[in-house]
Amino acid sequence: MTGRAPEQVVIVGASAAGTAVALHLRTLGFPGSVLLVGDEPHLPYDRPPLSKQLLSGTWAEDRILLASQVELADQGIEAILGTRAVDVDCASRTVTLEHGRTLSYDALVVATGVSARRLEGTAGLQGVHYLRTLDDARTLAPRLAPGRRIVVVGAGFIGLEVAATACALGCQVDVIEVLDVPLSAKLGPWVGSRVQRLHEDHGVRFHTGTNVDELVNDGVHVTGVAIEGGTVIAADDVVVGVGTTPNTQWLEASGLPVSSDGVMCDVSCRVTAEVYAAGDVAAVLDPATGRPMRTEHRLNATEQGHAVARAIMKLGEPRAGLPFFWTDQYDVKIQMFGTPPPDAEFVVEIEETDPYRMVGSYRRSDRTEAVVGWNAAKLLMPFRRELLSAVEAGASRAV
Amino acid sequence: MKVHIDEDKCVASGACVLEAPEVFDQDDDGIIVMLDGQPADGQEDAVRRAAAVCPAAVIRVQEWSGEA
Repeated sequence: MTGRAPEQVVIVGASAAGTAVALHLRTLGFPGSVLLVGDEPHLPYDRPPLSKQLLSGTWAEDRILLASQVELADQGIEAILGTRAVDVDCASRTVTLEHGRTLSYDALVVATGVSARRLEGTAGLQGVHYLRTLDDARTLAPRLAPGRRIVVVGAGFIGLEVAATACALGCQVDVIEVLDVPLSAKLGPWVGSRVQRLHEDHGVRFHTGTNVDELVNDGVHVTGVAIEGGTVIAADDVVVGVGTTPNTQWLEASGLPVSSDGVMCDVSCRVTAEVYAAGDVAAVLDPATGRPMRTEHRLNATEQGHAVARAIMKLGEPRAGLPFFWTDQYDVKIQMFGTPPPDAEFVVEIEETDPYRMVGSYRRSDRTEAVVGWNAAKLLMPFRRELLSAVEAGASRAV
Repeated sequence: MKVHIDEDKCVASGACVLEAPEVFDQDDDGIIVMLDGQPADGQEDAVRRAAAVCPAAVIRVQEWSGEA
């Protein structure tokens, strides 16, 4: 593409990142054709509510739509749903779909996200659930009835959110986690222990610092989870949240730079001159370390989607952003801005009781690298502004 | 321009307040509060940016022109 503006954009992946690219292209006035390809049969929807409002049944499904049929039509976005892309030919600039249809592109966006990593030996076993898609939530929701024994494998954000939802619905919940303190790798032990205590106060039992030995079953349905040391925790259903795998298999023959880490791209989300990546699947090469980093957070999907739309329109580099994520468990909202380094010192900046609110910072050599809030969205704002200014100052120094 | 919000969907990211502090605020729990549902001309770009960057699609912008 030598200076010529693209006329046909093909976006593979119709979730948060892909939809953000499509809508933002139109916001920026892109006049060409926009095709949005998704393997799920559903209209683009938002995933964070799956483990919470969708699972608990407090929201109807239409509340999580990111774009309605009418909006897509109004914006001139052609959605090809329920269809998997199977190959890319970068030389002829075509994407092949599973039923043989090919799409030509001037610009291709890879936004195929990630899949829940499967626990070995669980294929075909009934009562073993993963939670990534609307269909997963539809299958799991009716299982979370009062008195049912739910075992959650993996105390990451998905696992803990499911545990909280199941617990609130009256289930008896056990959580198995390989770390000694849940979430400690990402949030540090201070916040991690507090989250564990929050769950324990609601009656959830933790089995930490242990691996799953096997899923006990009657040949058809799971009946329990055996952990190291031989203990078996009885289960009516098991929910597994043990990480994710980037959806890059369809790109294996493409010659594009993909690996088990995702699709490699630069900070502007550019993979090649005509190919971009956005969202959970995008592995951005850190200019400082040269290491690829994927960010599986909701806001990142939107921001990278916007960055890609700007890059396609040749509108210059994106603004420096601040990594952000949140998790809702029971009536607690935990939010983090920035990325805490592993060797950070944790400092409690603000602590209020009744209701309990807390702001903590993660510092390294006298510099604040990240801040976390516990029901403290508003108290966090000044800390966040300060962090953002530091990031912006750093970005302008680097230019 | 008219701005509609769905507070129940708000995840308290505060992104809207950073983009358009004269139109949006947060309550103590961080949930969006609309200060001005019909923002002045000078605010319109900021409001559109806030709507686009919201991670929970809380903000809907209705432009006066067209069929709206």
